[in-house]
Amino acid sequence: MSDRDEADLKLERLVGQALRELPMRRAPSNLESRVFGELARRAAMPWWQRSFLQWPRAARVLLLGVCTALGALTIVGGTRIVVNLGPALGPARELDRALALLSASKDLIATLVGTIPPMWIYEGLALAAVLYAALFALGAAAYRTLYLEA
Amino acid sequence: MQNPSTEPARLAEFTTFMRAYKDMVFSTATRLLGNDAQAEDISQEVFVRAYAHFDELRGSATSGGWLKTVATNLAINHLQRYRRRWRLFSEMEPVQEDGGEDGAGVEFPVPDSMPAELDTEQHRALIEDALRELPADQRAALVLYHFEDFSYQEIAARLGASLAKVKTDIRRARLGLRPLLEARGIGRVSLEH
Repeated sequence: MSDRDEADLKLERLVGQALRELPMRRAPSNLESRVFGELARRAAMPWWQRSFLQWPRAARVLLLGVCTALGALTIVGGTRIVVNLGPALGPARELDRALALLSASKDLIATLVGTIPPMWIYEGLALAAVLYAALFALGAAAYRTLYLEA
Repeated sequence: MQNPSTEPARLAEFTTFMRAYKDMVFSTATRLLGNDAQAEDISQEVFVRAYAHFDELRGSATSGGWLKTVATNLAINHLQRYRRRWRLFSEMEPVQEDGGEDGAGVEFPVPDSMPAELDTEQHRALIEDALRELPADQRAALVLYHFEDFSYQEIAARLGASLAKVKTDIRRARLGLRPLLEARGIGRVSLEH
């Protein structure tokens, strides 16, 4: 074992001993009144504002039943709508339109990009990188200044 | 939750229960958080939860452990809420397993005018103050290790930090407290090498 390891072990033992010797901190005298005040405040809350687990059993069962029914209704209703109205909506035609729109958008973007001088693109990318690095450095400096020293 | 105003006997029993454990709960929270006001909020929440489980806790031999666990969990959750926002930068901090120059951490100066033999209470107060002044990560790791007997792995898991960072934080915290221990006279000789 090196000298450093030995010193670390001694330090660990001494710090542990010193910390364990510390007496318990005395709780503030108003803690009891705060606890009872909070208990009274929570007891005065209407049941629907409390945690779900504290709701009356009947209300919990009712809510679960309603949620289950709504879920089932959504699945069954959605399936029926697709089955009954699907052919009338003509999905194939809609898909063709969507693909045509996508293709036109792609052509438009390609044309626009083609008109921009390459140097502008490089400068824009460089500016974005510099701004990103500056934001990162600012965040790190703020962390070290405000958080680590707090 | 039952209405406390309709249960005077239960309330009286709970008051006795709270008086028996409130210092322990508050100490646990304040040493982890390093802030009395936040520790008071955590202690309040611990006892509100204890009241909800009072039927199981009353007379139980493990009620003290239950309270300590809840206080520790709530305090760690509180720390995590703030730490999560800064995790990106926190993980950028240099971590050195061997505790090089960077491992010195916070060092609490011992005033030259401090008498060599301060009384025990004054030394304890100094150590409590020093503990409070440690950076949150170092303090939480140190307290969990020395007060709660967590292993390094458990601390890393609970704080959501790497094992190396936990070891470094604990070492830095100990080195920060070292001048106070030396001033107390208990480590002056044995720590020198």
